[in-house]
Amino acid sequence: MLNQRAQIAETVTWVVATIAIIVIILISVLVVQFNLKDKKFSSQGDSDLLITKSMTGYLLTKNVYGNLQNLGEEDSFNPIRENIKNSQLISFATKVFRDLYSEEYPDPFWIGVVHKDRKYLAGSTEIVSNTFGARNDRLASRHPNGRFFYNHVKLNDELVVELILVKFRK
Amino acid sequence: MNKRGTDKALSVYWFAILFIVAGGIVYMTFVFYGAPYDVREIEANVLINQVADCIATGGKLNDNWVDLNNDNFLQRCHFNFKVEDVYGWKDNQFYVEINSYDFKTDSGIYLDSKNEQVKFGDSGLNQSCITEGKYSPVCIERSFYVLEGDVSIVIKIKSVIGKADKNA
Repeated sequence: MLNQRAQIAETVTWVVATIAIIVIILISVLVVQFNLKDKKFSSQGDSDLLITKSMTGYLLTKNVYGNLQNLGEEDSFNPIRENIKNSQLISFATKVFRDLYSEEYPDPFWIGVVHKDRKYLAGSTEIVSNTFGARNDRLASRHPNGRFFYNHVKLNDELVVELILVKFRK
Repeated sequence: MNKRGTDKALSVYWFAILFIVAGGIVYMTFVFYGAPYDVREIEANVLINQVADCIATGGKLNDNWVDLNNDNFLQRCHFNFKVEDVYGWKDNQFYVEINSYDFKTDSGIYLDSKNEQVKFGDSGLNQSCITEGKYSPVCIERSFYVLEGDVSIVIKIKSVIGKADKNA
């Protein structure tokens, strides 16, 4: 009688262990299946050929290049900034870059002239930072999940035109 | 004698458990790694970039753009739309459409020499863009600004990649 009870106890232990193993495996399989997201790759990195082409086209547009150079060569910082806020150049750039790329980069947009020595910005009103040469890095560190497009073109030895388009991923 | 029988039953049990656990791991690995990597969005963007490069460089339309038309576009731009021989595909997994507009007036202008909209590939794919689902193609439309002389033009390129059977 005692022997039979011992055998039943041992069998129950094995049955429970088997059920536990099967349950654990089933849970693992379900977790894998539910967590399996679409393996879609869509990132192009930080470069964007079409925006670069648009920027080249923008700079080649009649009077744009020369007017940008003139803006950068003004002496006083504030008047320039005010001028540029209302500048046709900036509104034209906004039309090109905002209208064409607002779906891909809906967040802050900046285009302007940066002077190498005086370290000022002369650009559109949505200024995202004001330290020369580090805007893209700063933005990236502030918004690690953001997507940025950054491009710059040298107007001459002192002046650079910069374009920054941003999409903050939420 | 009885003990030997119990040992035999136990070893069978252990083998059964081993197979269940191994089967579970193999199944999970297959499910996880067996799903295809869908790179069609990248493919569509690459196609758009190549078309853009063929049409314009350095911010201006290329000199040869006036000669382009539906008949010679593939050859001129060095494309071939051949695909791997699977799922009964007949090189009909791509579609590209190019539209151009005057930047200032938004009015459409024709790019090609025959005054037609330039499009090539399987137009049936384009019609499937309006549907959303597992078997829908990937459709991407992008634009860029370019000059033709002093005229500002917007080129809009639509690229559609099928290959749904492989990526669903």
